[in-house]
Amino acid sequence: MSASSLVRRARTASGHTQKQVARVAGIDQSSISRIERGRDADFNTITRIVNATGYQLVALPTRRADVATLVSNIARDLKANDTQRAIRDLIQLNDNLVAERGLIRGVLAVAEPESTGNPLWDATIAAIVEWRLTEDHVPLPQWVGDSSRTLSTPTVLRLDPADPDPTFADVPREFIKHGVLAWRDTFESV
Amino acid sequence: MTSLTRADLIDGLRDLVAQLRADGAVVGIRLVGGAALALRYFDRGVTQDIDMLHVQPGTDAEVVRAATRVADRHNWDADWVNFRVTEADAIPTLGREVEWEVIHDSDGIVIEVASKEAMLAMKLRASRPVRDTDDIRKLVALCQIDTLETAENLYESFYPGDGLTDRAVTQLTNILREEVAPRDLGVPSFTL
Repeated sequence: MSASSLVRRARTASGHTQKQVARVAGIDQSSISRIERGRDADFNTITRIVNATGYQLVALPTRRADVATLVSNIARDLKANDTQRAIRDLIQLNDNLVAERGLIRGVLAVAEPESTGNPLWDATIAAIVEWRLTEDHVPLPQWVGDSSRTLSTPTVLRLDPADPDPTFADVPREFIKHGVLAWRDTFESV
Repeated sequence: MTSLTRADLIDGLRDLVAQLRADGAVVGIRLVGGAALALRYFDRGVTQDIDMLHVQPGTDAEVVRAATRVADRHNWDADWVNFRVTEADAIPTLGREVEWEVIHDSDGIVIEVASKEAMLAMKLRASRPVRDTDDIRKLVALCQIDTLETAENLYESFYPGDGLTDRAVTQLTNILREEVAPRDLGVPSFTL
C-alpha cells in the first residue's frame, strides 16, 4: 500500500477534512494534500497524520494485501474499463481472505474500503467479505452491513455476455443477502 | 499481495530462474492455469497463485526454496508458486496426452506451458462464470473451434468418458453465437 493511499483512506474513513487533520498533526494542509496525491513523505510525518485521524499503523504477520488496498485497485481497474483486471483483483481479495485464518483474516477486512463507484461491485465485495469471515467465525466489520453495499434488486454478476445465470442454489447465502447473484465456484480455485 | 500483470509475472519468473541458476538447480517446471495463458497465449492479469505440476527433473523443494527467496524480494507471499493444482482433478491424465511448449530452456532450467488445446479442455472442465469465460472465448478462437461438437470432441479426447457440463455447454453456445475467427492474440516474446 502506498503512503498516499494510506493517508487518504485513514482520513476519509475517519470523516475528517484535510484541514482538521492538519491542525491536530501540526502539519500544513497543503502538505497533506500533496501526500494524498502521491508525494513521498518520511515515516514520522505519515505516522503523525495517521494518528491525527484516530488510526495507528501496525505491522501484521502477513504479506497479503488487505481488502481496502485491493478495492483501491479494483476502483482503478473499473475506472480504466479493465474489468478483466478488476476480476483478477476481486479473486485475489477472496484468495487473500481464504489464505488467512481467524484474527488475521478479520484484520484484513477491518479498514473500510472506498466505493468502486459501481454498486454491484461494492455489494459483491461486501458479500465476499461477509462470506469468508462468517465461514471462519470471525466478527464482521461494520462497513459490511452498510445499506449502500446491498442491492435492492438481485443482480447477476456478469462480466461477459456468455456468462450463464446461476440459480439461487448456486449462490452463497451471503451473496443473496447483498443482492448479488454470483456462482459459488467463481471464487474457488481449481 | 495484489494481482499481477503479465510484466510482474515475467519479472518474478526471471528472478526465479536466476535464483535456481545460482543454486545450481536442474529442474523441469510445467505451468498451467492463468500464468500459462498469460505467458504464452494472451495478455491477462493473474492472481498470485502460479499453478505448477510437480517438478521433473529436480524436486518441488528446490523450486519452493528459490520461490520463497523471490517472494521475499518482491514482498509476495511464499506460496505464490504452488502445486495445489496437482491435488485437484484438473490435469488430464487418462486420455489424450498433454503437449507442452517450451518457453525457457537454459542452464538446466526448463519451463514449459500446456498446449492451447489442453488449456481449453482444462478451462472447459472448470467453466467458472465470470472467471473462466473470457479465457474460454480466447482459447476457442486460438484452437479454431467453431462448433459445439468440435469443442465436445476436444474435451472428451482429454477426459474420456466425461461430457461437458450443462454450464460449459451454455458458455460455449453463447460464445459460438459470435463469429469466431482464427486469430493470433499475440503476446510479446520475452526471455527469462
